[in-house]
Amino acid sequence: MARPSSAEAAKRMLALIALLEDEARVPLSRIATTLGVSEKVAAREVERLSCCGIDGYLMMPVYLDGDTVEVFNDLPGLTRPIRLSGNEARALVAALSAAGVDDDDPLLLKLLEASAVAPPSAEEVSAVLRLDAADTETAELLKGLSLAIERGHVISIVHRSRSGEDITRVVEPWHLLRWDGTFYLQGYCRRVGALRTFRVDRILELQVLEERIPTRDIPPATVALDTKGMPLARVRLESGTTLADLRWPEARTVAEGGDGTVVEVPFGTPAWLARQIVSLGGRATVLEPASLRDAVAQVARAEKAALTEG
Amino acid sequence: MAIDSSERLVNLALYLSRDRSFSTIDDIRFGVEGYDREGSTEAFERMFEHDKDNLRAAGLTIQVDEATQGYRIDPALSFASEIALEPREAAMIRAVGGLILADEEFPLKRDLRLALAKIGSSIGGLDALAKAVPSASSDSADPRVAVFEDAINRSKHVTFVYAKPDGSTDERTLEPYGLARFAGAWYVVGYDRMRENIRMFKIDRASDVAVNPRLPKSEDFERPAEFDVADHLGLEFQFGIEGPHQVELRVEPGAARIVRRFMERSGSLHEEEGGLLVWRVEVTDTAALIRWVIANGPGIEILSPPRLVESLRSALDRVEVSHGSSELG
Repeated sequence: MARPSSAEAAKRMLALIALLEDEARVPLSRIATTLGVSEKVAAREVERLSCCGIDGYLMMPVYLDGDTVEVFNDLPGLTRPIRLSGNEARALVAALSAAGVDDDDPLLLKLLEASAVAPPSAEEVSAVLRLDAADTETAELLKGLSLAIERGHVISIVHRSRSGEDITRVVEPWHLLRWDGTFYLQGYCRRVGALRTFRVDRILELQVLEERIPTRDIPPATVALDTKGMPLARVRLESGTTLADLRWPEARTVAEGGDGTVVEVPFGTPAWLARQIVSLGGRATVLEPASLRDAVAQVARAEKAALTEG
Repeated sequence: MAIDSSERLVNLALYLSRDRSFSTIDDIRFGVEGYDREGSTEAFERMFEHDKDNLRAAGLTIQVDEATQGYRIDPALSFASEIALEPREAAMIRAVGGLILADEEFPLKRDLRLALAKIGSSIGGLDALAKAVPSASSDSADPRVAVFEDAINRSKHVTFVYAKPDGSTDERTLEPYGLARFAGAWYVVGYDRMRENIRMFKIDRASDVAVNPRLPKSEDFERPAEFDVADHLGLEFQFGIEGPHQVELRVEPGAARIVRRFMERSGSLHEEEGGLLVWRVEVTDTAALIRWVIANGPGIEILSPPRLVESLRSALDRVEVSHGSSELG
């Protein structure tokens, strides 16, 4: 009887056949990444696949040449992509809904009808599994941003800053990132002449320009929100307020005392952290830098002014 | 010679899809490399049944011809048709697929990978996926989430020990209906057999989580048809023990874009002149509401009740005092 792991390996090998049909040479690394296994496991599965066939002849014309998979003849069967199983369709819908793709988005309908066995409706899937979903506007933006990044087009965005201003920026888009359920765009902002990270749900307008991104040394995105090199703030948290609840990227506790803890928080923009501190309503105090203390006081005053007006 | 059972499964799939004819169980036993040709027929049949289940789970539909008792893979039901995607849709699937795969917390990763591999040719290659932007999650995966997910998928009941906010613990038996993640935590919603009601549980408070091991192939319960996990989800400020207070908030158009997804989940929303939105929503944790209002602002204002406006004002006063220029608060 096939053990669960064999069944999983068979599923991967069957999915692999469809990946092989288009190309004569496929890097093993791509197969490994796509199937989510190590190159060692991928190599073993390619080799097993090369032993498969019909009636002991008509073998899979596949062999592993170092780190490349060679397909040297027509495949004996299953050359068309296999439909998605119920679980696979579910996973795809859940992933796209997390990006704000709506239950009745034509994209989902197209995908499911063409590719799933007994396609589940998107409503069925999201009724039982829901991730911090983005909104549908974010989904539309992600479509445009993904294509601009792949094709290397410069974009113009209207972005709502943390202080509430709507600013038009011309950006060379590099990467999309996701942290804690939220999507971010990382790129070179021409307005400030530096790398910047923008929350996609704060982008109000997107225009893809004809202009191509000039060849710059685009560093790979190594961490979702890279805090390396960011200034650090020292913040005192009153006891009862814990870092785990705050979800500040890469923040860490540096001192613990009876009346609370002192934490170190990397911050890209003072406006973000200032707003976070104010939102805690006095349960957090910035010790340094002084400029951030001022920014906190300023946000508090502005919010109070808005209250009085109302 | 015995061959690996994954190879036998692939051989069977190739054999059953090789042409349009049906194969009898004997054809299969002697035609497919990997079956025991000398052992008992019962053992072979058990193995074949199990293999068919596995091929079905892989997305292949096996058709049975009543007259000949023959089997074949039904091409129309087994193979995907061409998916006509716009370039921006394909680009988005590559980007989002890669990002979600990089999320340690996504419980359906294995299935998502296979799905993306299968639709790979329709989405124009997987190079972008392979370049997937690395770790996008703040935490490592919680194995309990996968246990609940599996139980939901198979409609099996789950027992666990639940730590209540006051520190005491309770043993629960749950018919899990749905799973949700928000504000960085996972929640399971289901029918609590002892409380005889639908309840929501925060998964990181559950321990000794065990899926009913009995009769793994049959379902323990039926999820109500109208169930939607979203109906049971609260917002960050709806997990308290106060009130509940009926709160009215006013949201400017610029801020609305950022908080619309929250506003659509709970309460009622009215649009006023100038695009201002008035949102009436139930609140059980005022400190969490204040935090939410400021963190998502500016442009969100509490209109009523007045007591809450005053709480916000004094919270802002405290912040101002502790961040005054004279000395550290």
